[in-house]
Amino acid sequence: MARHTVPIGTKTERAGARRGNTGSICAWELRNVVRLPALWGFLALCLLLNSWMIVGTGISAGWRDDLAYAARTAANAGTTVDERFVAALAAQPASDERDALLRYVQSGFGPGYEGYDAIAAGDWYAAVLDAQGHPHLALQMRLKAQWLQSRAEHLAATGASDDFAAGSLTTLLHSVAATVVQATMVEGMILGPIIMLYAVGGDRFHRLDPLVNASRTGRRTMNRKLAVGVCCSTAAYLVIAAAVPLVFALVFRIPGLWSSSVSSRMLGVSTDVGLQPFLTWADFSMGGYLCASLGLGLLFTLAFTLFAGALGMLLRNVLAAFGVVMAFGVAGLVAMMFIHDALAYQLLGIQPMYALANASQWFTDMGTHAMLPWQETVVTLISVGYFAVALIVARRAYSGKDLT
Amino acid sequence: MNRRVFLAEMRKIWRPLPLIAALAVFVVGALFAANQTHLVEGPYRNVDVVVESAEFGPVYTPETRRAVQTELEKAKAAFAADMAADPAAREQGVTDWDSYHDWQDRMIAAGGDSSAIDAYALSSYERVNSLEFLLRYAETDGEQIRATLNDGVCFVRGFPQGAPCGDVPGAAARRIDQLVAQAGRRSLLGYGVISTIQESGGTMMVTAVLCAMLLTMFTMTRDRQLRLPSLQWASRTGRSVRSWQAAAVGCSAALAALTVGTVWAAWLAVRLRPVLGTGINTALATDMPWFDWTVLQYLVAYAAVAVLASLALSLVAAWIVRARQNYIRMLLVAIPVGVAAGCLVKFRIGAHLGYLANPLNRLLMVPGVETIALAAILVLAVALWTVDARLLRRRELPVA
Amino acid sequence: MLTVEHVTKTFSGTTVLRDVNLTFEQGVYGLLAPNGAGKSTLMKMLATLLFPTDGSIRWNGEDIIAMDDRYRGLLGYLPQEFGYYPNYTPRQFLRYIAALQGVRRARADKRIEKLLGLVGLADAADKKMKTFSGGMIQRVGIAQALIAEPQLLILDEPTAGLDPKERVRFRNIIHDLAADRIVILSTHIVSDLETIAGKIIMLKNAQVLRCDTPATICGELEGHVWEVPGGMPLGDGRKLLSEVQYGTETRQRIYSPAPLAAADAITPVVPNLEDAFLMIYGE
Repeated sequence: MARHTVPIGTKTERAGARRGNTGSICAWELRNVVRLPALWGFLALCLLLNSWMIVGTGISAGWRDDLAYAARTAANAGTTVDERFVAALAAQPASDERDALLRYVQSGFGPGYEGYDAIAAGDWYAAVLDAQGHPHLALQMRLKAQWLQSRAEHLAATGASDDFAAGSLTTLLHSVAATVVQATMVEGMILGPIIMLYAVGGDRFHRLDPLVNASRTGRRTMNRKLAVGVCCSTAAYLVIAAAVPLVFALVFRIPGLWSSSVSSRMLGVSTDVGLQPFLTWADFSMGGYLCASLGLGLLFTLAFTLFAGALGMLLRNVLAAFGVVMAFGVAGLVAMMFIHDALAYQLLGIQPMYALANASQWFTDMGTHAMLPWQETVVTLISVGYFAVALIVARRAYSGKDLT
Repeated sequence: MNRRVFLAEMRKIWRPLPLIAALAVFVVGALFAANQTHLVEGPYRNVDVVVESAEFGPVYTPETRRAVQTELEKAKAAFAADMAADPAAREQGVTDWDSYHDWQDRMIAAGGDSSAIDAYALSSYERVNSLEFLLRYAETDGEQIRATLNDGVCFVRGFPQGAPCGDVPGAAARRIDQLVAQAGRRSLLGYGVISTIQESGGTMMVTAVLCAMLLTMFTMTRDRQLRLPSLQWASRTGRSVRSWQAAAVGCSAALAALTVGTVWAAWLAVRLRPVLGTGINTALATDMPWFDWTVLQYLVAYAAVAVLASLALSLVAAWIVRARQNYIRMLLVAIPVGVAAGCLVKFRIGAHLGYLANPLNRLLMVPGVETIALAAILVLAVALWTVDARLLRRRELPVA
Repeated sequence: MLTVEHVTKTFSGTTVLRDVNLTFEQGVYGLLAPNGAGKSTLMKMLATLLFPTDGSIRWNGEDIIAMDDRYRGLLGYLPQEFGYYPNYTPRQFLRYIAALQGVRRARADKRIEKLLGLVGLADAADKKMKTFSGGMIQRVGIAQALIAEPQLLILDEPTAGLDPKERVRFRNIIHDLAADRIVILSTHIVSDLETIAGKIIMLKNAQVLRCDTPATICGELEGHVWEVPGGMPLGDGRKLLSEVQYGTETRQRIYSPAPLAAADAITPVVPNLEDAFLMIYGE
């Protein structure tokens, strides 16, 4: 019997076959991931938990009446806290809610953030950094204070400070939103790596590894697996994240809430220098801020997903890879919670957990936790960057690795 | 035969990698617990709550009252000396404690600057403040105690502060009677001691449960991954190997929790040495303790409940997870189970253990409701494993 | 004595074994059948891992399920895909199996020494099994099946992964063991069965087709198996069994119902078990 020594098909035909196969291989890999029932169960649990956190706050006895009153007030008196608003509010029938809301809108900062001094706050932070022996960081802090002051002037000029938002519930709403965003980040941090590890390492469970890697596509199959892992992790996070603004909008139904500025003086943040308005580096509405936060959460999930992919290829043990990813995350969070020296905090903060630890103050000044505007975004992007590099390096190593 | 199988299964649980993971969780938990101490208080000066609690002895008696009053007089004299040395105080005509407060009231009413005399930074101010606080709460009589405790019961039942709520449930009423009868024999234990034990104890419990689960949840899945069940089931021990695995899970969980609880209790006991024999029924806190424990007994109670929680929840978790087809499926089940267990322990079992403020009292207002809940979970776990063992006898070997 | 009485096994509507009746006494029994014929299913039922849909399996008249640990205590089982703990040494792994089998520690240790010597792993007794070759793992598997000195050995593909020297060693072990116990083994290496099996059990269409000695089975083909030149047309009634290579010459091994005319290149050969397998299961 004659033996074939020439590969079947022309070069063009073989290349075409590879291209055509790419789509079908990805489809098979995708099929493997989406047909895991436990994955959908986990996703459903995440959605339930996040919804419960939002709904539980909105309907809890302590806040339900205040929420309804804020909605009525916004409908009757408008969504800009000016003299006309205060008069209209005072004219509403006497009640505990009216009195509490009147006190709230008249306390804290005045119109245009009157009573707030960014430069003074910056000087206070700088003094702390000087005391720690970091004069360069102190200088940066003063510089940042100047940028913040110009932001405060801009926001005051646009009237952002006078938006009613959710009235006295604005701080609560922001707090709940921050908690839910943190929850989605943690869920993404867990689910993303699990999906990636299943995509990358699932063949080993069924002892298909030798077969797959000895095929024509061979180790190039790993590229498809990584792509499917990233896409599915992203999709899972998006499913979780998409539900958040939806549920918020259903529960917190106050006219003008989601289009009002997140830098409204209704939102006061407790900091080391005292009460501070929520001044963001760009103009955000409440809805826009929530979506931007969830967007940053996506980058956060991506970082951990890429890390898991790299480890999945290098360690060849799914449990160990997952353990290392989680250990990295926990160590990063512990560092952010217990390190007090500013320089050490900045250096150890070049990892994704920096963002999680500061989730309640994203896109704002963040006191001594940030030296630069948008630092949480920059750090997360850097994290995605170096994990992407790790993934590429791991992929290269995988090409030459013995597959025992 | 069975003992050797049991020991072999124990050996499979206590392997290096899971031990390292449990140790890592222990270290993180210890970090959090260590940061949940409230033994140094005071807005301006660091007041050692333990030293303060031990100063006048374990029980507040008439002799103690006299000693406190004597110290109060000394402290007021020291404050008067500090005022005499303060130019701002001399200028304002403030000479002693009473005249300082009169001056402060006038300044506040007139909208003036009441911080012109910086009394808060003075140790004599802190001392007088804490002694007056002590006397105010220690001197409450039986009926005032009853009223406070009844309010507490109504609050736990969901009524607003101060609103009446009808008859007090039987067990709570009996306990209130006991505490009222002890009105003259309460301790002066600072609330910082109790809150330290409760907060760090809650964290310790979560750590114990998570360490236990990390050690025990993966064994059966690992066996299935390694295709051991066919050998195990075909042996003399047969399918009952699963029961021995469950027993090993329970013992390992209890052992891990005992280690965590002991380390925590020992660490805190050293710090609380001066007040270990002091009763937790203190005049300086309004929450009702269900038991007449000392501080040492309270530490032991927290550690013991941690062991029970780890045993019960690890057995339930191991049953839920059992032998999944692969590690990914196992993680997708084990993580939500672990989170649920952690939340249950942190927010329901470990929160204000042994006190009326524990949230479980809303469901069943009896002493030891936390232990009852855990015992019920343990019974459920045993029932689940018993049924599992029965059903397994007729179950065929699954496809790997 | 082990008896399989009217055993039927159905999986999700598909009958894998139907009304199987077999009796096993001392000696070696080889299960021979194509893949999917029900060999492993039968072996798993004998090992109590699966349960008959109908019928019963009895040991000395007693139902093996009802006997529970008394039956499993006299059973030694080597599954087709044998699992182990990679970080255990053979000694540790065999101790674990001994514990499962209820063998006392002191006796188990002596037994382990002997078995490791028997399977040629005495030098590797304390090395981690993750460093072993497939053949070494398989030898550990054989050793664990013998740990409790079983009266009944069930071996599913026991020579998979063994080199010829190891297969010979294995055949010798089985030969010695079969003197006073029942050994049931399944394998695709037909030559192994020819040399050690006293009886061959052939399964077809979910039923027992034959249960006979190799000599009887092969004897039915006596005078009907020929070697002819490769490419020679077969003609009616004849069947190609296999092709054999002699250097550069290819010859065909065929079945002919009638004797062939003698010629230089046409020779009668002694039929073997593989010929019988191919005849019975060929299309």
